[in-house]
Amino acid sequence: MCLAIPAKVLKIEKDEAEVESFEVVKRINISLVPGIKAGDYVIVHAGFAIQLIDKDEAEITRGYWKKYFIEDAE
Amino acid sequence: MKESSEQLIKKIRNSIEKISSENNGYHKDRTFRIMEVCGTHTMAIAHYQIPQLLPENINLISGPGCPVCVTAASDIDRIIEIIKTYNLTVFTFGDMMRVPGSASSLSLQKAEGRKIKICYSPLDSLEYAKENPGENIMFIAIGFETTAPLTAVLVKKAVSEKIKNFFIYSTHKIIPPALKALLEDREVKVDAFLLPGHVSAIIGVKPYDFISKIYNIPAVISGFEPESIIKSILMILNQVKEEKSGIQVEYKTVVKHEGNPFAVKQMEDVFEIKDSLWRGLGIIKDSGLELKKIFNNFDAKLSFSVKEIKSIELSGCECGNVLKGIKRPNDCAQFKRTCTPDNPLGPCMVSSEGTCAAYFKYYREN
Repeated sequence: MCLAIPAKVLKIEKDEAEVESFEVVKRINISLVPGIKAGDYVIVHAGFAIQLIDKDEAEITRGYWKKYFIEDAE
Repeated sequence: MKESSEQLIKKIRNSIEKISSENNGYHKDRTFRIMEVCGTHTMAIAHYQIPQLLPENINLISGPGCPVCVTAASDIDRIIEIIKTYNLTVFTFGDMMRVPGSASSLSLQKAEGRKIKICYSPLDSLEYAKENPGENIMFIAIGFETTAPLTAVLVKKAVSEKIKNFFIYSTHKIIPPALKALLEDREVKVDAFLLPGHVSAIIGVKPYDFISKIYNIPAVISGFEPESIIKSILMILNQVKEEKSGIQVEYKTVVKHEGNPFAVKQMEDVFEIKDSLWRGLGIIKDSGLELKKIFNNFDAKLSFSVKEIKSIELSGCECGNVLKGIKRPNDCAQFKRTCTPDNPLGPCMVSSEGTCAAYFKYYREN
């Protein structure tokens, strides 16, 4: 339930953003992280960005995520 | 070159073994109980077999980290009574569907024809309300501080968009008072905490300060990969070894010291703190979030009043003790016999992040 995943912000439209997470593009609400811009990385929970994350750290986290939560799921 | 996760885990294990063999504040012959309070940690620890990486005396205990699991039967009963009495369309997160009340569940109610829908994002419920002005929509708001800010945004949106057919039933709870209750409970023996990653992304470090300042217990905010969890355990042992406790952040990618103050402000704008009933732990002071009076129009508890219901907890279900970390799922007589994921008796088995569900899925007979 507290699952949250890293995503890259592609485009911003008012209080929503188009983000990419593991090759899936989706729309999320960004009301909780005012001031973010395209190119930023965020952590997404239940359709909302809840925190900004550091780009380099994000790449590492995405690597772990891919390894453990997606590949291992098979 | 970044070392592989296997190498990193090996290094951390060696460090843990080293501390275990030294004569210091941490005694290798004494059971050392580390409690995690996050459903996602419960699952990660089980999935990656973290206990197998640790010396035998370190026990990883699961606490009340799953918001669905700590929802009291009386809340489920009241929600069901509201659904039966009023003609509502109800939205909830998937996990809530099979949580048992005294006599029924949302899933059973849906099977009987009630309009109950699962949403991934709370915003889905508001969208539906806008598109269906002839229906009254109730969103069951459940979750800790990771999710409460989302409900706050939802409420503010409903206000600004003047939605009249939308209502919220809040069962939100906050974590730090539960940690305090656990530390005060003589039956519960906790030597250290692994603190939740995403709750902490919102609230930051400060709300946990009392754990070290008053109780002198080490605590580390941990990420969810195996190397993060085991590194957090090493950080805890180092605190014991050096005889100083504090709240440390291992999950630095996401958890800033100050958390997300903007998200916290949304929660403070919309909710007030009240006492709350936690399944297994009883009433914990100042641990629940209720809508502020200015949002009375959106409060399902006020708009849809129902008679008082006598709730009964299922006999034989050890969820209460499991949630406190006093018993493990295997200590429950029903576990794997009459209580399975297909036929769950209590919320710890229902929720995908429940302790009993984790044990059922990942741990073999020991």
